[in-house]
Amino acid sequence: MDTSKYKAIYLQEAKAHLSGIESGLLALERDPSGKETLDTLFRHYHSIKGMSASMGYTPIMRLAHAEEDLLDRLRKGSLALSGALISALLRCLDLKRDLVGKVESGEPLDASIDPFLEELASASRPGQATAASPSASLPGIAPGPQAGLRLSSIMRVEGRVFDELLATVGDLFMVLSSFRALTHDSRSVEFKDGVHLLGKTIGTLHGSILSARMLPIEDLAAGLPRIVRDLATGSGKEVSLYTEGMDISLDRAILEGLSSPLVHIIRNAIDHGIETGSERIASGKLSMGSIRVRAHARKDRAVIEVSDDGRGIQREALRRKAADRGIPLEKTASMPEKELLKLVCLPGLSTAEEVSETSGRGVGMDVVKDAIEGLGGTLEIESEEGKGTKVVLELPRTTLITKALIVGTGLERFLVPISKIEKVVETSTEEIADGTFGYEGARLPVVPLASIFGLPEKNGGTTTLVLVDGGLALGQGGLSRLAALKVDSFGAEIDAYVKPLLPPISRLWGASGMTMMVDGTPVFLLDVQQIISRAVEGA
Amino acid sequence: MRGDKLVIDLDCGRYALDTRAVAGVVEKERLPFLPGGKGFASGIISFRNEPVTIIDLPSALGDLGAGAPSVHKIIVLREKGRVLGVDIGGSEISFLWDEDIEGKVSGEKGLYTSGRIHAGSRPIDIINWPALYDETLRMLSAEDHAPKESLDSR
Repeated sequence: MDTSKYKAIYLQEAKAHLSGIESGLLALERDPSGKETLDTLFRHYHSIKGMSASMGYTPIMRLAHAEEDLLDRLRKGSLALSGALISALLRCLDLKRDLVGKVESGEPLDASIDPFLEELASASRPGQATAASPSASLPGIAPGPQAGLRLSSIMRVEGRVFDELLATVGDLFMVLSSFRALTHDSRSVEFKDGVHLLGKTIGTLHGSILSARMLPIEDLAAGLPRIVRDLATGSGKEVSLYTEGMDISLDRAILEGLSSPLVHIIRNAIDHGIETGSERIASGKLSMGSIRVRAHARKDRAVIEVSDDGRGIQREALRRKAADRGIPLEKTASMPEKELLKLVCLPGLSTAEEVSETSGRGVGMDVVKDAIEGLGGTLEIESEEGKGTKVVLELPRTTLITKALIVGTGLERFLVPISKIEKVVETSTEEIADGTFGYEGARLPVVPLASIFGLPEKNGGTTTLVLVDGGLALGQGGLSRLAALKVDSFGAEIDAYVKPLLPPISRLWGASGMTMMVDGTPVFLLDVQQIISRAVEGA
Repeated sequence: MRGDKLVIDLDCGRYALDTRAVAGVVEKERLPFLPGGKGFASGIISFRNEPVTIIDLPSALGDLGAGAPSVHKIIVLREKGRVLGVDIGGSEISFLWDEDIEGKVSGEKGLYTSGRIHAGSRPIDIINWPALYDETLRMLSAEDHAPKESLDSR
C-alpha cells in the first residue's frame, strides 16, 4: 500500500501528539497523582503507536509501544512514578521527535532504539540505577534537552481560511477578466505581457489553493465497508461492496457535502433495493447482493455512480404512490422514464413497503437531491425492475471558480459553464425555422433562452446557438444529449467566481449560481440541464 | 413595534419599516433580470458585493395597477442572515422617531403588515418584512414555480 500520500497527515498528527506528550509528562512530574493526565498520555502514545504501525515506521511504533506499556502499569498502580522514569520518557520523546523529523525529511529510520528501551526498562525497575543516557550511542540521533524552541513546518489551518483565500482568488479572476477584455483594444505589448503574467500567477495561486483543498474520494469511501457491513447485518442480508476510481480528487467541501447523500443512497439500496438471500435465490440471483460505487471524471466534473443489483424501482408502485400525492395516473403514465424515476425525489414519496430504522419514510431522496444540487451537481436515476438501480451523481470537482462563457439575450447577460458546451455556432434564422438545428447528422432541439425566461427576443437574419449537453433527459448518450441554446450574442470566456445561491433564491429556477462582474452587476450561471429538460419536456 | 421608523409614501398608502433592519438605500436605473422570477420578485442587485433579491413593494402590497417605475429606489433590509431589497420606485421616504409614535401604535395586522401607526393625516402600516421575505422564498422555489415555457410555444 502506498502510504506516502498520508505522510503529511501523519506528520501533522504525530507532532500534535508529541506536544501533548511533552506537556503531559511535565504535568505528571508536577502532580504524579493526576489520573486524567495519565489517561491522556496513554491515548497520545496509543495513537502514535497505531499511526506509526500503519505507516510502517517501526522504530517509532516500538518505542511508543514500550512507553504505552509503562503508562498502563502506572495507571494500574503496578509501577510507581519516579523522576528517573519521567526523565527516561522525556528522552524517548526527544528521540521520537528526531525520528519524526527524519520521516519528514525522507531519511531512513535506521537508528537502533534498543538503548532507549533499555533505559525505560531500567527506570521502571525499583531500586535500579538509571542507565546512562543512550543518545551518544546512536549515530545521527541527538536526543536530549532541546537546544531551542522549534515550530512545526506543517500548519493546522482552519478550512475557512482556504475558503477566504479562494474567494480572494475569485475576485482576482474577475479583475483579470476585465484586464483581458482591455487588452483586446490595447496596442501596448507591455500591457498585454503584464496581463498574461498576471493570469499565469493567479492561475498558479489558484492551483496551489485548490490542490491544498483536494482529497481523494477514497478518504470518504474508506468508511463505506463498515457502513455496508452494519446495515446489511442489521437487515439480515449479505451485501458486498465494490469500489472503483476512488483516487479521483474532489474539493474537501464537496466531499463533505457528498458524505450524507452517499450514505443515504447506500442505505436505500440495502434496505429496499437488495432482496433477502432467499428472495434473490428464488429469482435466480446470487444470495449475496452487491453495491458498486464507481467514480470517473467527465471534463472538469466527477461522476459517481452508486448501483445495486437488487429489485429495482417498481414503476407501478411508484405511480400509485405518486397518485396518492396528487399526481394523476394519466400524467405519470405518459411521463418519460427518467422523469418518472425522479419522482422518488419528491418529498415524502417512497415506494418502500416497509419502513426501516433508517429509510422508507420518503424522507431522504428529496434531501439527497437538494444536497447534490446545492453542491452544483445533478442527480439521475436509472433502474431496471428485477435487476437493480443506479444513482448517478455528477459533481463539480472544485468549488467556486468555473470556466464560463458570457452569453447575451436582450439587455441581460448570463454565464454558461464551459463544461456543458460542445460548440458555439452562428447560423441563419431559416436554418432553425422548424425548431431544430442540424448538427453532425442529428437534429438538435433549439431552445430560445429569451422565450424560456420571458425576455424579448431579437429578430434578425442570423442567430447564435450554443450547443450544450442537455443531460440524460435528451437521450441515452452521444449526440442525442445535445441541444441548441439560442442566444442573441456571446462574449468572452471567463474564470467566474461563482457564489452559491442563498435564500431567498436558493432554489431559483434555471440558475445554479451567480457571480459579480467587475462592474458590480450580478450575472447568473445557467443551470443548462434544468432549462433544456423543462423545454424538451414541454415540447 | 417600537423603534425609529422609515416611512414610505406609496400611491396606495403610507408604510413604515423598522430602521434597525435598514442596511442601506440605493437607486438603480435598471434592475438586472432574475431568472425564474415570479410574482412581486422583480430583480437582483449587488449591494456591498453581495446579491440582494428585490421585490416590488406596491405589487407585494396589492397595488397591481402601479406601472413599472422609471427609477428604482431600493431599501436594503438585513436581519438575522436574511437580506431583501424593497423597490419603492420613485416614492418619497421620511423618518418617524420612536418618541413621536409612542401611544400611537395599534395592533391591526394585514398579510404583510404587523401594526398601524396613527400619526399625521393618514395611518401608516408597519411592514412585516420577514413575512415578505418568506413569501419571496416560497415563490422562488424552483420545483413549483418554473416557467411553463416549452419548445412549441416559440
